[in-house]
Amino acid sequence: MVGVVLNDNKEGYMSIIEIKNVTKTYCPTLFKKSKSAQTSKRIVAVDNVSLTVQEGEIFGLVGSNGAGKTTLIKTMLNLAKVDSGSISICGYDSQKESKKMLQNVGAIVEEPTLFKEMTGMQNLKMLAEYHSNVSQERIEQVVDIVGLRERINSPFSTYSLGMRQRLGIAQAILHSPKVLILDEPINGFDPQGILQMRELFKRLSREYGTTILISSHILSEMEELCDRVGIMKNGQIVVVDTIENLRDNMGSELLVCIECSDSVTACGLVNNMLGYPTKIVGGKLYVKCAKQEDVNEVIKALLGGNLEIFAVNTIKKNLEQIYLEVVK
Amino acid sequence: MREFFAAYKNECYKINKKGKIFIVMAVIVGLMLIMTLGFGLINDMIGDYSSSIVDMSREEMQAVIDTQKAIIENYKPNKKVGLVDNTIYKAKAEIVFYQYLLDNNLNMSNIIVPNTLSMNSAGYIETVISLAMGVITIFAVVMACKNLGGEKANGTLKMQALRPVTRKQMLSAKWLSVWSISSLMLIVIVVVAQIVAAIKFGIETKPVVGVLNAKVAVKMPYLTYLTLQMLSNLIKLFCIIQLSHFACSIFWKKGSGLAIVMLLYFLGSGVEQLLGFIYVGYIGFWGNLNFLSAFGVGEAPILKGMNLFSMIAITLLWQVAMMTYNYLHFDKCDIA
Repeated sequence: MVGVVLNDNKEGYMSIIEIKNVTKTYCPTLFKKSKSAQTSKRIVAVDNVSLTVQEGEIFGLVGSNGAGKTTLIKTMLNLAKVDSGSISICGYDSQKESKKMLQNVGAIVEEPTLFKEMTGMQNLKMLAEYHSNVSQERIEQVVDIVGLRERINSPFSTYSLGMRQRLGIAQAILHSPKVLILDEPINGFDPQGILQMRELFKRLSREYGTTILISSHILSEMEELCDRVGIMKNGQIVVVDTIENLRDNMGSELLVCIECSDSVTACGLVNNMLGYPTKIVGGKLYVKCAKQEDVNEVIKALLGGNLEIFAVNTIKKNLEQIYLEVVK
Repeated sequence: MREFFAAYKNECYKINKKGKIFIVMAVIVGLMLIMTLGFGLINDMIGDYSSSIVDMSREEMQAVIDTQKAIIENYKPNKKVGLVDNTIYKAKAEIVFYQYLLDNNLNMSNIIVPNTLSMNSAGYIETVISLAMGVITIFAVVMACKNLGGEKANGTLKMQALRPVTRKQMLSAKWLSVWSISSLMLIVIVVVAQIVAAIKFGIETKPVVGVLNAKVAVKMPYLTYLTLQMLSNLIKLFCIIQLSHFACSIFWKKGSGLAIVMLLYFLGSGVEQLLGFIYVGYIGFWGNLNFLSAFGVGEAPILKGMNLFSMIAITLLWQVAMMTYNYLHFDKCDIA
């Protein structure tokens, strides 16, 4: 297990989401029993979580199923009540001033469930009624942004998962919120759709300064999109940092790819002389080193064995590898 | 307030999805038409009997009073649970009614007795109201269970809770939309029925005599009677909607809420003995709002010594408690 890294400050940004010591538990029984029975049987979904998200930032929340991501998002949106702690979004207490908070927030939680019998447009119009700043033009604009023009007048019940998600994103950005909180927003999207949404989120952040908190299982996407990520495990946020910092800080092993004149001989040399784990894939030699100095040792050993070295590349870990290291 | 009105408008829109209101109205009007034809048949069949009641002499009225007194004297109440049986109240109501007629030198030909199926305008309206209330109450219960328990179960409540609207506003919009629509339906039906009644039986000019909780008889203008009757029914609708939301908030399922309310509604008078004190407000309210009917005071107060006013107080307390619970619970619960 890698040590916990908490880098919660980003220069030049003002915190717009502040979560302080939030704990949320669920009682699995229908009828509440005695206090002691309740305490022993309660499921801790979110365990003393603190987190700050800066204005204009795209923050990713990752974690395995049941890690507490969705519950944390629900508490942020006042869909679920916290047991202890506080959450402030845009300066409003999300539990006590939810109405003011929600004027500045757009969100999707789990799969967007809108009225089945109504068309996408009817659903959007109905939700737009709650906001004073949403005109018909804005609704039309949002429909185009999410790429639902062709099916917007079809009943919601006929939509595929991807289309439902598109409509969910449409309703979330309808009132041009300062903060977007999106729980698994790209589930069910086709590759083109994922690309479109990534561009949309980046554009919202870059051009309009929208703060985005996004949770997803598609780690490659999170890596592309997010300024920082937080990894959740067992209801706690165990790591928060930028992807770059995580790559630099998480774990000590380096994977080095070496292209040389004889990979098989090179493999034997490294194994016999240094004892580092090696593998040949596609004619290239891959060596696992503990630190940067070990890479120099490997190169020396190969040169000493009269092998020609054409290229040496250190392979950076991706978010998936970092995530797996954190949650293992 | 903007958000509240948006929520209210959207709730109304949802209720009338696929023209549900018009379907329910069509059902009621259909039933009304059948009933209107039926009234003609009944009139043909029992017209003579009806006339004989109107012509009842002072001696005959006194005979009815004596018979009812005998029933009361021979009656053995159920002392086990301290509840009062309906029979005795029905007998008392008849005594009060006929005694009032005797004391004021009135006959059936001078007054209106707004009983269901009576061959007059008031009887027709009474019948239409009870028929429409049956359909509209079921409609209101289904809608109330759907917009709270149903929406919680299928996830649409979550989407509304993501809009800038407080939970109190959300809940208010939900019950208010069902109540206002069902009330409007009832009012429209009664207005139409009044027009039909005026054509069929003529415009009522005689006063109405009713019995208050089997103790006091009162005489009032027909319009006052009709207004009170409508008000009592609008309150009934309000109460049944609160009860529906209460039932839904226990299990958060449309079906469970619906089952509980329907059980209470249809078996209400049957289970009163079993549920006793817990049920007192509900039955007290439900039974005693029928006080305006002369012979319809069959529903007794649950506890001995209760009168109409204590029943109203209990009903109000019951409603306040239920509404308070609904609001507090909805404010504190997890919506998703």
